[in-house]
Amino acid sequence: MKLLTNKPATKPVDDAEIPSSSPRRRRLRRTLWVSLIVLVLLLSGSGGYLLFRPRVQPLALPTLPSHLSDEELGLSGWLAYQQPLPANALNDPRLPNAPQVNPALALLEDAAGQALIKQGQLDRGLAYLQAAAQSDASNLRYSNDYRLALRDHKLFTDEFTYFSKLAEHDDSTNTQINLALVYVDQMRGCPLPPDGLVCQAQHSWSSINILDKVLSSHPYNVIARFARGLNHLYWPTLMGHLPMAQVDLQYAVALTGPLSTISKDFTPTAYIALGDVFAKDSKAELARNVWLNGQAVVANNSDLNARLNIPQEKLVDAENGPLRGLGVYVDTGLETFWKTGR
Amino acid sequence: MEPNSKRTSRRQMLKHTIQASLGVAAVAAVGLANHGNWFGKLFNNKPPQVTYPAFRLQEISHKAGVAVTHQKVLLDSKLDNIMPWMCSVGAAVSAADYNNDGLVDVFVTSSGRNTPCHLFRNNGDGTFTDVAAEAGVADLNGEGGVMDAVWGDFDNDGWPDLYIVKWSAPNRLFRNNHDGTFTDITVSSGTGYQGNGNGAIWFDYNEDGLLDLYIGNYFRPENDLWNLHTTLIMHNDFENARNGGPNVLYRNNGDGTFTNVAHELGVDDTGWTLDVSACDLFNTGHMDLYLSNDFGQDVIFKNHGNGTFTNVTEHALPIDTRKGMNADIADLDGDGYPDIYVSNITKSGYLVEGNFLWHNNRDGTFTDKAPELGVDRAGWSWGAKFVDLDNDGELEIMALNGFVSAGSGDYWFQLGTMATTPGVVVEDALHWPPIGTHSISGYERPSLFAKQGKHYVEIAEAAGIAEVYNGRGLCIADYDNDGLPELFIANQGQPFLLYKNTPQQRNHWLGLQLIGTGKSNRDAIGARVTVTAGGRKWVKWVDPGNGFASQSDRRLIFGLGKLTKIDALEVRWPDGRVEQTKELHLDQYHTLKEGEVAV
Repeated sequence: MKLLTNKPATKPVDDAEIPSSSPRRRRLRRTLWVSLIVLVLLLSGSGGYLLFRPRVQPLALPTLPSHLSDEELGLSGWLAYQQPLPANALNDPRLPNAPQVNPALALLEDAAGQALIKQGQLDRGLAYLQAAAQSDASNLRYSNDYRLALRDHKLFTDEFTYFSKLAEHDDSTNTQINLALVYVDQMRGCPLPPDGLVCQAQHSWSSINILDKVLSSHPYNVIARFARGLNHLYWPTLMGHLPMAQVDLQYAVALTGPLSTISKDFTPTAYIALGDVFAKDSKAELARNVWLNGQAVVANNSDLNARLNIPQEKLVDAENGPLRGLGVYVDTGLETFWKTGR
Repeated sequence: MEPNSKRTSRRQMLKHTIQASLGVAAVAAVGLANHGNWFGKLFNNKPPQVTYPAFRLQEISHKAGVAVTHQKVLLDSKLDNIMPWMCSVGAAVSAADYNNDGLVDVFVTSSGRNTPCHLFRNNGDGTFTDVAAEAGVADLNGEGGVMDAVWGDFDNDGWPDLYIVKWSAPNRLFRNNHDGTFTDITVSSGTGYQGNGNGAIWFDYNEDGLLDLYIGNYFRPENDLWNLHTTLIMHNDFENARNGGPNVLYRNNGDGTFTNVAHELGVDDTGWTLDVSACDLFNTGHMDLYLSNDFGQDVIFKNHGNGTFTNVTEHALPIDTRKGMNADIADLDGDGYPDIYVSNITKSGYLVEGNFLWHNNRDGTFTDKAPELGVDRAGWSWGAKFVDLDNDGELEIMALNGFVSAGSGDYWFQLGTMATTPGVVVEDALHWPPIGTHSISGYERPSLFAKQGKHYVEIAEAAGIAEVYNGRGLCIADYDNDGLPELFIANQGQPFLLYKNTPQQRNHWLGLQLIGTGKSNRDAIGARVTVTAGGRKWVKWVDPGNGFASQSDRRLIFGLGKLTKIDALEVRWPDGRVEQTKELHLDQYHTLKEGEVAV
């Protein structure tokens, strides 16, 4: 019943009754000051935390087996791939006058082929590169060098002919991956967008189709994962490829962990691509989170920084246009997977 | 006083502390919120300053008595899986003063079996009367289906004749009897080509003073779409198809008969032609051909003026794998050379081709300036025309959009999947996934691009275009002779529309009707008129019927803005004669007869 009464239970203390100089008054004032300072500090701290709180959330990535072999990663030959090219290959007495398919000479012929092309001797250079590639069809480095030389000189028909014939007789994983990448290179032979979009998409479809088969038996092959993820990423959004791109590129990011014992060069590329999936899907915050995660792994990476600096309102257009629009040429070079030095 | 003062001080202190705390919290909140940069957007994104003219387009088809609905074809049931696609064209509209009463009339097609076409005679009071039946041009769908119509005075008697383009039945030619009726002279004239055409124009390619007829065909002529022997009837590629029906060029023999010389002259193009257009593209005095081809390269045939053509596409145009559906031609940038607006497909998230604005480089080549000018993104575009709606001397561009408006689902995913899957024989209609009740780029509003500064902005809705139909033929015609062009719109399987044009600002104009004599065709098709006023030049050409499924008013209207007189007018007639004058009053139509233009 006490609660119902209008009378206060105790008489309120009137400040005016306390002399301003009394110890009680001083204590009260000090208490009040301290409380206020604490309040300000708390609010400032909260505000500061909210302003500067860490915004990087952990990524949802697929769980990988505790140990992945180099072969499972698709890079069983990585030590060979990392060998430096012989210097002065053209003056090396071991270099045959005519290209020879000889595994012992492959590295030298690879170097010679590249040197000859730099000198303007395209046909001779390509012949040496082809000999190196033929000496070990499963060697990604030699096939990569030969394929890129053909691509860069717009010899798309030669590129397709060589690698498709090879794949007819050799269904090894790396040969199939090479053919999948050849299809991506073929897109450069299509008319420039916005023309030639069906042409481009059909090549991408063919590439994906090959990589589907590779990944069904080699799910942790980082090259195949990344190549298929990128293929999906470039399709027009409403064709529904983004979820598939997300899965593959999440794998690619997860695989940068075990890959890091071989090379870290690919790491920012994987994070950028995965972020692009979300960005293209108008999920800018998720994209930024991926890129911030990438920054946490690879500090001060200029490519990641560039992505993070794109204004949010321009992100989707950038992704559908110059970054990941259908018709943007993809670099199918594989060196990033074994490149040393980072 | 001191205690009170102390009390006030504490209260102030408390107040300041709370304010400071709130301030800190507010800053934090703003900082957080600004991660999305909405704060910046709120204060920085000022609405663009509108400088384009204010248009008011009002739909008056019911009031004007032209409120009819187009009926679609229904083809062989073997095509049921893609019937909405197959029956998606045929709505067309063509303008001419068929009865020579000084008022432009319009012919409006229907395509469904036994459904009547319409000839709307202009009553001169803002209304029209359908006189197709009494004129003898109503019942044209007894066999096949009507796709297009084009007026032209092929016999130079001063009365417009009418050519009808059909699918899977002979095309028809009707001679004007000068009494409001027409006589079918298809057989005697030899113009009854049985193909599957979608467009035609009248133009005098060999400059003998007689109008010839060029017809753009789509499906192969051997395919009767109502009685198919095979379902291998479709384009065999989505970007480079060349297996369409060959186009036809009927040379006017001058005795009431015509001869198909397309093959002989190398203009029997087998692209999937949806629209044919002609103009003096290279400023040689001869009318060249522009073909809008679906599923591949548009084509330009250069006319040498001696009765021959050369295919100059490879030199004149970049690679084009788009879906050309319409070409209209006008001098957009005032350099005296014709530019070309071509409709293609834009579907965000699937296929963003963009329409072309082929800028004439004056060296025999064209460059697409549509993205730069902001006139590329429209929709699944069809009929499109240049038009100066307010006579301010600047051309607007109007484009109709929308393919199939049906259920809420969209066929684009299935279409895209088929198109991008290698190995699918798309030529076989049976291989196409069923469309069912899906829409295909449906419910798209027309686009109206108006110039603002150096670019264009899309203002269709703001201008009063509220209707969202599947537009096909767009006819620009001044039916009330007020110098302001109106928009007649044929929608596929949907109501016909007439938009009355009442711009906020009235400007001065000069209207011209040209009559050719001598070696020029009487319609003066191809004549080039240059008007000079206020230190500026405008060039227009008399139109042969350019634009998908449509033909606009052949008279020329020069919008002059605030200028109160012209300084000079020059006509280069189709036969090469050049005449000049400057004694023409503004804000009215003038008839200029070749050889009688006052110097």
